[in-house]
Amino acid sequence: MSEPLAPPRMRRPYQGRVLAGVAAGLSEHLQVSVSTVRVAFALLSLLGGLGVFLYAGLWITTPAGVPDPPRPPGLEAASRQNRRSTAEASALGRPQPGLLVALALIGIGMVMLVDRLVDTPGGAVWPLAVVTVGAGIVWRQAESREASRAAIIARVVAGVALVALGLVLFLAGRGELSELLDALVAVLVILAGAAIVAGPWLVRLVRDLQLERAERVRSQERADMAAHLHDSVLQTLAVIQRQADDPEAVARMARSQERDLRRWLYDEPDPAPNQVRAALAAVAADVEDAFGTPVEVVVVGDAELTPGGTVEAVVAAVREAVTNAAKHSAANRIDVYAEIADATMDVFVRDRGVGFDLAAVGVDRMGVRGSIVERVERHGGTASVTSTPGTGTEVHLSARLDRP
Amino acid sequence: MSMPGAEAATAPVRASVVVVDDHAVFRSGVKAELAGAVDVIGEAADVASAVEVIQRRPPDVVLLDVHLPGGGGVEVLRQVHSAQPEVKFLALSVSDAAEDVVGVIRAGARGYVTKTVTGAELVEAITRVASGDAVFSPRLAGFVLDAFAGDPGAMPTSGDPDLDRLSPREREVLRLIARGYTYREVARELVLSVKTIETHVSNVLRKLQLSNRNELTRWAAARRLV
Repeated sequence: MSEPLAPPRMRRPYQGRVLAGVAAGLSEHLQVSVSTVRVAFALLSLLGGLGVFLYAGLWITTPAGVPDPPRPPGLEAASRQNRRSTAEASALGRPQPGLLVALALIGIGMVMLVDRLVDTPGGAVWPLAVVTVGAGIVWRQAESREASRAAIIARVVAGVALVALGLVLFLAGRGELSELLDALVAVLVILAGAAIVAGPWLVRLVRDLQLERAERVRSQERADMAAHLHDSVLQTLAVIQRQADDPEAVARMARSQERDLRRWLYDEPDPAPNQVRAALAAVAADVEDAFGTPVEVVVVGDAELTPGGTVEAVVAAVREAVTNAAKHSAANRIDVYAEIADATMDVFVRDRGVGFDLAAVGVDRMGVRGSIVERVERHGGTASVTSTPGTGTEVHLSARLDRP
Repeated sequence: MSMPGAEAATAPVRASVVVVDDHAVFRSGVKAELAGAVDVIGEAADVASAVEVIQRRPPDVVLLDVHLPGGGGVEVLRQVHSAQPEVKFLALSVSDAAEDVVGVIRAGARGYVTKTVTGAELVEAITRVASGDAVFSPRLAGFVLDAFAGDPGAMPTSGDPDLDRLSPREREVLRLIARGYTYREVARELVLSVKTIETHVSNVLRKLQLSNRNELTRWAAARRLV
């Protein structure tokens, strides 16, 4: 599978570029400072525009981007799903406006200088400059990786218009404008003929390309799936086989695996981590893993957790209540219901376990007072516990939200 | 998944059931669990065969997998429900995604349970659905409260404004179900009869199926529904 080591090829990086990344790529390739390369291009441009042509030539022939070293499929999948931080920035390095203005001024200055110094036929320098700018816009657009359709069309039209304007100026300067029209008609006829001949073939080419791209996405998704299954499910199955004589452990692992797969298959790819919904799901997962008791969480509405805030205190109290239920109730399931309205938050933690006599046992003995009641009351909320021996316990936490 | 309807259940006759699920392992597991409590008279693995099996010999209850080759459980409901309203559907899924749950309910299922329910809970849910009642899991109750949250607003879009809001009593019942209460426990808590609770839940189911409530549509759309 591994490819033979290829000689290093010059690339035009997306990061650190000013125009098309030619200077940046060349500097990396030749191991010299990028400023040196840029100054060299500028100086060469004075030699009848040699630098500009050189730049354009390298622009055309050098591929953009940074070559990706091959990575294991698991890492590849994780990167594609945005589960890993990637060093490579996805956006085209956006040059600052100041830089572009400076570049434009330098360009104009250089054109004027050349115009002064070199004896060009029929004032060809200015039209040439306009053509260069127009072509630059189109070329740069061709490798832009993210832009709206409208922006693409606008840039291409602007670029082509500039090129056309430059050509017209050039011909007008030489008094050959009338001949241009004839030439234009001839060119259009030839283009139309070519389109008729090559059209179907081009259409098929484009369609094949799209199909191939879609197929590649699908196969990447399949690879993601395989990597995930290998990662989690196979691991769990292996452990389950080893601990087959411990039904409790097997049930716990199956439950944990089920939760994981369910989340992976059906959940929003990126749940906001500092919301009540996600926080309570994490509480449930932790308690399930620690005690093996399934915890069902139902949340209506949502709110943000602010450090030290009321919501965070309530969630912490819920964790205590659920842990208590898992430890002491012997229930086979714990239900958590949270309802968040505009200004209030109510959470109920219920188990159908052994329950206890509140009067006889005393709330303190269950560790309820400090960890649950006081925690919530400190934030102006209330906590109440109802329990009946034999039928179970319910903890009700209620608080006003301190959100604007 | 808890079954609030679970404690009802002295069935006068054994319900006949068709199991529709594309996983053969799951079908045989369910059949084994249900054996003795209900009569499994047929099974199917995709939409086309499900429709055929149900039409050939209509059961009391169809246990319907939400994810099914040929268009999903919703497609089975679409093809069978209006022609044979006497066949009740109880949806089953491994997914708790809102679009699955609300999608099948709005298509006509009378209840929803996840595949992790115990055999006993499943039998009692089937019995309840067979007798015409609705089966709400805590999660479904939560979804409904979420979808009908807040004030119905100034723009009810159904002809019947009652469809667009839950009554305070219905809200209370759903809240208790979401907290994990069975119908009987809800009844005790609110000092009502179980029959009344069943009526409330059936009314909520009807609203969920028929309401065009602005918020419901928007809520569902936000979860890639509709």
